[in-house]
Amino acid sequence: MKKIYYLLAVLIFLLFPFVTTSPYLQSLMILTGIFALLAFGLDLMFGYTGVVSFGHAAFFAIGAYITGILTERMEWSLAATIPFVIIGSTICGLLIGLATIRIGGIYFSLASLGFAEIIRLVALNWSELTHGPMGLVLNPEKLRLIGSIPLKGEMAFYYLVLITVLITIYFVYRMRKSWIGRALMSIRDNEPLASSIGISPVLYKVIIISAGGGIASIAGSYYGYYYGLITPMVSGVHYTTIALLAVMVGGRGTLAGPLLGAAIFALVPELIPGEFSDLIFGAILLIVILLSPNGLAPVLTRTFLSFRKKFNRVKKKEEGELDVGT
Amino acid sequence: MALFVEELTKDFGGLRALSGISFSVEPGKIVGLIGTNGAGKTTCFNVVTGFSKPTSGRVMVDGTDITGKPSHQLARKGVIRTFQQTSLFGKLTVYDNVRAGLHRHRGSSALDVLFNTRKYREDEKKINQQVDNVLVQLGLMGRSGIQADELSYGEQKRLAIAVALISKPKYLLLDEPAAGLNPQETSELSSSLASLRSDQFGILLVEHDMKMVMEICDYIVVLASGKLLAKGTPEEIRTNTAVIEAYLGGGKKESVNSR
Repeated sequence: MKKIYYLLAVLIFLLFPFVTTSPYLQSLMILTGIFALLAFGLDLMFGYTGVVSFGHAAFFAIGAYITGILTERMEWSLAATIPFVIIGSTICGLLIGLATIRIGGIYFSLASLGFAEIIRLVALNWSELTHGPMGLVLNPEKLRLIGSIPLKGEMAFYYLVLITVLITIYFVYRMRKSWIGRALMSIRDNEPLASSIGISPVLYKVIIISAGGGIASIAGSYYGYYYGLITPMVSGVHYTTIALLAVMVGGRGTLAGPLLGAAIFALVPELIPGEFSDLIFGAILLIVILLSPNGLAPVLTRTFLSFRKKFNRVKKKEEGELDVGT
Repeated sequence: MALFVEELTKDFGGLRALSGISFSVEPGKIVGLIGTNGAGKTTCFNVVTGFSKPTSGRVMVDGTDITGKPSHQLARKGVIRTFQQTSLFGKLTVYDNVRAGLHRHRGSSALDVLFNTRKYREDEKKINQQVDNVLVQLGLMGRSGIQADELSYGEQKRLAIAVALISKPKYLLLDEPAAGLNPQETSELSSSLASLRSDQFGILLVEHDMKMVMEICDYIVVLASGKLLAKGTPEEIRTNTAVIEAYLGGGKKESVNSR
């Protein structure tokens, strides 16, 4: 029964570009998808493992710059750059993880913030490679998905992002009910106990920082490719904040949460002009934390379940009445 | 094949908290470690479980030196501890708490999980069966869907033991499992523990509750002021004059020394 709802949701997203051909709406969906990837990466650390990173944008930037540099300099296709994005972000994840995870807790969070700042400064000052504050500009005519297949237009990007998001959700879905998910959540809930039954907290945290960073770097890679402009801003606090808020507002450690949160933070700035959007972000966060500290996803699930219960009861009643009638 | 504690000595600055403690835990046996407050039980337990390093001496498991190793490495050798303060995965269900305990014995790789292979599904089925058995054994079957945070104190204690137990210890080290329990809960716990006794593993029980220790232990080690006061069967300990003196506070000499 539950599978039907999942399939229905997937179908709606698959058909979306045919329902509305507006490139504007499609571009909003692309942004939502990119933010969702960023948020899913962070949720692996924050929601499941209890590792709070304030430097998630570092991985976003690493993805964007590796793809940008390889595309601009070597004229590689997007698909060709992805393996290097993953390798690059994994190496960075292992480095930052091994170097700082033992200090634990809030100290790791601060170290990760510093890490993002380092990446931003490198991008700002290594001008030969990154063009400094001017940023990398990709030629929209030369963008290719793989080989000589061009990657152009909102629809192509939409499906690329959608497929990536679906694969990510599928893997997270598999992971969370398995021994991997239990190991991560046991570390989140009680590190000494997890260790006492043979789960190495350091090992799993380092792995999950690399994995979460890897997903974020792919998001960054798409982001750079889609907008065609990569500046040191991509390593700024802005994107970390979006990911953190999306996870918190959407619901940490839930399947729908990061997607839901990402949608809110991609759409609100479009609906509310200018500086007011930050104000609205703050208000949304406050309201959600006050009314539903675990985020929106659990509330929606509860509402949906109780609605279905009521619906089923009404249906049964009707059938019952019919039986009486005949 | 045993857990050997050899000549453990531990100094905290000028204070000798443990001096030359030796004993062993064999599979199939329940060994009690007792002593009055400040006798060095907890220090001894922490050294054996690797939470602090001894000044001298070592802890051997089946021929391997495990002195001062981190918990997850001890766990790999089959040495599993519980905690005095109830220690659970609070946000996970009772069922998942116990399933987490099987981490060491998983039969599928990360790729099996991500691609939902048959190997993974069959392994999960096997895991669930084992979890059911342990839950029945500790009387928690009806509570499997509940978040661990929401259990009663006595149930939490038993769940903590279930988590340790399912990870298939060779040596199970229990740190005051009856602390904070009422007499009713203590006797429930006591009978659970007695029913767990098997040739598969040995239990080291650090405990205050004398009745429980005397009931279920095969062998008792008594500490006083960091020294070994007596070793023997419950019967021998019950009649040992040094032990009686230490517990009932007979000699004046003893009370001066312990300061």
